[in-house]
Amino acid sequence: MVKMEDLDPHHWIQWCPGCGNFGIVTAMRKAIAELELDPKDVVVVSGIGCSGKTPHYIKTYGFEAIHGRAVAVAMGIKLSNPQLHVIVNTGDGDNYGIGLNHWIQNMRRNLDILHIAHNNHIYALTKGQAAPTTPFMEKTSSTPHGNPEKPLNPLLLALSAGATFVARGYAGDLQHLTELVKEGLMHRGYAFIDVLQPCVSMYPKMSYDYYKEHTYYLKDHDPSNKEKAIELAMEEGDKLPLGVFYKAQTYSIHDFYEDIHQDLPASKHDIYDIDISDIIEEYL
Amino acid sequence: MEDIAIKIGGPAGSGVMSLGKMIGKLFQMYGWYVVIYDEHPSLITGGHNISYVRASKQKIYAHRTYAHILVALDKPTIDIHKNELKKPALVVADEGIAASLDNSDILSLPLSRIANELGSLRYYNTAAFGAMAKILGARKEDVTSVIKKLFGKKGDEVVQNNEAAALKSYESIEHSYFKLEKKANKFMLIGGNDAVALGAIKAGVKYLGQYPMTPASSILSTIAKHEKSKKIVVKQTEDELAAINSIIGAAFTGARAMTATSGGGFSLMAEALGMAGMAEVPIVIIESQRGSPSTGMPTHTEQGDLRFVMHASQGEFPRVVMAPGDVEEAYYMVFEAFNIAELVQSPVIVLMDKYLSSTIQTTPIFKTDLKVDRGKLLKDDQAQNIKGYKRYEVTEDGISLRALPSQPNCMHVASSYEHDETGFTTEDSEERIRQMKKRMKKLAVIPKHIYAPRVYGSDDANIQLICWGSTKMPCLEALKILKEEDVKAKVIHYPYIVPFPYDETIEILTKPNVRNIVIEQNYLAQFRGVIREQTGIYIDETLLKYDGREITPEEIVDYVLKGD
Repeated sequence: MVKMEDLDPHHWIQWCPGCGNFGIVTAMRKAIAELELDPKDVVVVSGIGCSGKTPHYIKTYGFEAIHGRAVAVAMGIKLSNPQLHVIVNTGDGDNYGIGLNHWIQNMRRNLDILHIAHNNHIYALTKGQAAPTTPFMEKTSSTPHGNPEKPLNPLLLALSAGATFVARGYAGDLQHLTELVKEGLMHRGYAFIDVLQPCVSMYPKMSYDYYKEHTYYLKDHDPSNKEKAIELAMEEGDKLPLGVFYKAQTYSIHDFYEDIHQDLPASKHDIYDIDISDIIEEYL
Repeated sequence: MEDIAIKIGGPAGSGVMSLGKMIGKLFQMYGWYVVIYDEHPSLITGGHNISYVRASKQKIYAHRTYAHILVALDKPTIDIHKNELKKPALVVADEGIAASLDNSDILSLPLSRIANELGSLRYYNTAAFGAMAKILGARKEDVTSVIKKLFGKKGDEVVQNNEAAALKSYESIEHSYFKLEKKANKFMLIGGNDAVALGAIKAGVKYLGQYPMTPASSILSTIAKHEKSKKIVVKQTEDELAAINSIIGAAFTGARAMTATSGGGFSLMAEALGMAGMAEVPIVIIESQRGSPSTGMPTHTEQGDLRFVMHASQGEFPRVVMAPGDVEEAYYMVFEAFNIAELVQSPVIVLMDKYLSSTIQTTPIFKTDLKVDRGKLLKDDQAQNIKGYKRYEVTEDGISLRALPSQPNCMHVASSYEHDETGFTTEDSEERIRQMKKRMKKLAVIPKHIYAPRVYGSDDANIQLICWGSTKMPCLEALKILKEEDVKAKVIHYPYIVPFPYDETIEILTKPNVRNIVIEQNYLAQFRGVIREQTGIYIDETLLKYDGREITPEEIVDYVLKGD
């Protein structure tokens, strides 16, 4: 049985001290250990940015892809071998900016992955430029006179695009986040968690203290109620709700491919002597 | 008659292409060699479409500029193509078209009348097929077999109506103009893109990620047709970025994975191509070139992307660029592409073009006893006992043991970042040099898996036609014409361009008293540039074409005999 320690690759971690990512990676390790998943069957996929380094800090299989394409890489992995647990880690710029299309399309497909978006509302690794989730008129290194764009609402978009597990977590609450990650891992379909993640270096304004004041936990919410979930997602006021907004079991693209993987996942098919005589016959 | 060329013209949507296929199928049934080539604008209906069917008792490689028979499905066809006619110069058209032209040379046929009697103008082209079968001197029962073969999957009613249309018009003609002699040959009749699809399926492709783009789109449709029976995950993606990134994900799990596109889509793929190089993930990319730059001429042919695929993506990493010369080669080379990709754990690009993608040819029946070689791929049972596994271990040949997710004891990260032997991100100078050298060692290994330029024609010829990719077809046809004119020539065709076959090229190009001519379909003579870069040898004669139309054997012969 896998223990938390087994999931630590003991690398020197390149994140800044106090980074919200520590909470996220710890929640992932904890969830995998508590669910007793075999790490060899887990693939952690990321793009580029601070979140992109996540696969290196958890001892499973991993793929650190190029900027914005983590979800597309994950799709290829999961469709070729649906037995693998695929966890995508993206940043907000990575997912809500450059990679937006893949995210929307795969929620529409209800691809069976867990997607954790590290949302620190800033481009941190490139030193503090505005991101798609940076607040309106905020001054950043690329918007010294204020951000002229309204921020994107990830949860509302996820709900409308067809994700079947939509949640908001907070990197500063390990216990709560671990539960969300566990629930997301067990969900069949697109499980999306937008994680509020303090960036202590590049956006200290949204600090741990800030989030303590500006979040609250969902109580007595029925996650099967999509209309209510949409209402909650639209709450953009002083306090943001945390928890599972929406959860449903519906068609997933994997249903279509089920027969292909029936005996073995496609990635493990024996390909040494594929018979194509029936196809050749068509051309005779 | 040894050789018959038929040109069919009409608006898009009138069944020009499928009539071409029916006639081609008839010749195939009689054991004749066939080449079919279609030309059409980027439209769904209207415009002017052509299908050109050339059949011969002798081996043929490409279409010619002339036609013996012109089948006009509309009036403009006659005007546009009448000057291409060669004896017996037969023009075949519907009675409506013939009457309006008041031209007694036109063989007037009741095509629309027959179609209307059957209740739909959809049968217009099958009626034309029946007439053509009679004109060519084919037996009635062969007309029925062609229709069964081509329409059989569409249900009994479709077959019956098409049969009725074809037979009625067959019988409306009193006598045949030719005698279609049966030959003992048994061929496949198949197009370039279908050959690519078959090569990939035979190679065990398990994941295809593709976004439709002319002229590569039919690769997606053909493989999708067989997705259930051959158990292949076929995914039409949201764009070419998702196409290539998802095949990289698929290949990472161990599935043989491929994408297909044209130059525009390949432009979007450039960044991820480098990731496949860096993370050492074996992928196969089909790039079928079209008239460019930008949107260019989507349904026309060109060889303008050679330099692009050779150098696309930032930085340096090993890759293979191959360019099959005809339909048969497309099948075998795509199969090889999957082996090479896994043997050297690098991306392989198969460079096609519109001409090859859509040319339909008779070919010997594809061999299927081909050997799949997956290189240094770790087997599940080997993984059980492995210790200290390193995905990017520095080895003698630069290729490391490839473990797959779900295998025990081998967990690692594949990374687009520079990494150490375990896959962990590093920016350390020494580690960088070690990994760079490790990857680049493959450059010495790859040449073992490719083959030299192929030489066709007489040994003692002092004219060498040097070409790559699809220009092989018109070059070989030109060789036949030159032979008839007592001009000795050779065709030197390069199926592999990266890595460049240096030794063989030096030997070929340094023969004394030889006239070398580089023939390619672009403005800048890109391949001539590659030869010069690789060997220092400058070939001053080129025959270049960039109007979107495949170079014709006649143009080649003309150039060889008269020069510029």
